[in-house]
Amino acid sequence: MSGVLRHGVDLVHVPALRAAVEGNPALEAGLFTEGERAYAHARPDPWPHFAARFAAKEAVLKALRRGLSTEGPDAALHEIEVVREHGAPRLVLTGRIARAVERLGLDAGALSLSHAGDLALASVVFGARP
Amino acid sequence: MGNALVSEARIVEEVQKALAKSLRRKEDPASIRLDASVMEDLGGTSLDFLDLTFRLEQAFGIRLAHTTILDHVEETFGEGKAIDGSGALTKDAVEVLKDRMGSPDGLSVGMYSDEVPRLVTPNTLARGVREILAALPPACTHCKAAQWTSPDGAKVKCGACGKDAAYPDGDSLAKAWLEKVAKEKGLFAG
Repeated sequence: MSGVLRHGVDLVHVPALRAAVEGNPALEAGLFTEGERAYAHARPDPWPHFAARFAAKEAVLKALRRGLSTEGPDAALHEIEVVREHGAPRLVLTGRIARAVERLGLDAGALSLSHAGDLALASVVFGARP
Repeated sequence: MGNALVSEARIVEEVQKALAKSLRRKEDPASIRLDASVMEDLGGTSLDFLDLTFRLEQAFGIRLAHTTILDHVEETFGEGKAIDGSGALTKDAVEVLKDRMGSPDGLSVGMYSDEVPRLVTPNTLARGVREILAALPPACTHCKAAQWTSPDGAKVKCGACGKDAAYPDGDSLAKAWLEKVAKEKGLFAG
């Protein structure tokens, strides 16, 4: 059922994310879950990790064709969490995002992250739920 | 008009200032057009958009809606009422967005919700701020004094105890607005 397959990709400029968060520290907790913040801050340079996680959130939203809130910081960003298990990143979807995935008949999604230089990239693929 | 202490001009000024900072615009903030698309005309990204809404919350001491109006529709009236099985906007959802966003060009039944942010303008942002400021409680929720003051013309404080005004949050106001509009227009009934 090819109509059910969804793909989202997003590229984030690491210095832009860093400048935004350093210029407005409230953004960090607004964009990232506690687990994501702990993970990034445990790295020598947290910014590529934050950028890759933000890219993952955007990639999920793109795959679902769901827009961010037009009125304020979107709580959905906390409903898309990137966790690492055995070295590989994995999506944990909750709340409205999880319900949207279920309604569209999609599986848990596959995530791939990459960063090089100033850029961080995330690719998310949803297949049909078995 | 927001409330007696925060003028309409100040709301517009803070929206333009937040846009200039978040989007790193070089021009005089006052020259930013209020009907410009934040994303398409001003070059804003989703990250900039988040940054500027946080700035507005800090400037006015408010909490903007953190849930989209489409999500409020689905939570209030049921799944599928705003976004159909394919992920596209329903007719009633478009009606709500038209009212909420001031009938921007480009809203149509069948479009996806990820196309909505490009229709957001400084006017749309100001509307969200205005809705919250207009709900300033008659008296301080901490000490009950009715002595509001705003030394900077943006953040309202209690003149008696000095605490910031506790406005209702954007989500509860958006939900109340939605219920009122849906009832008036007979939306999401079927």
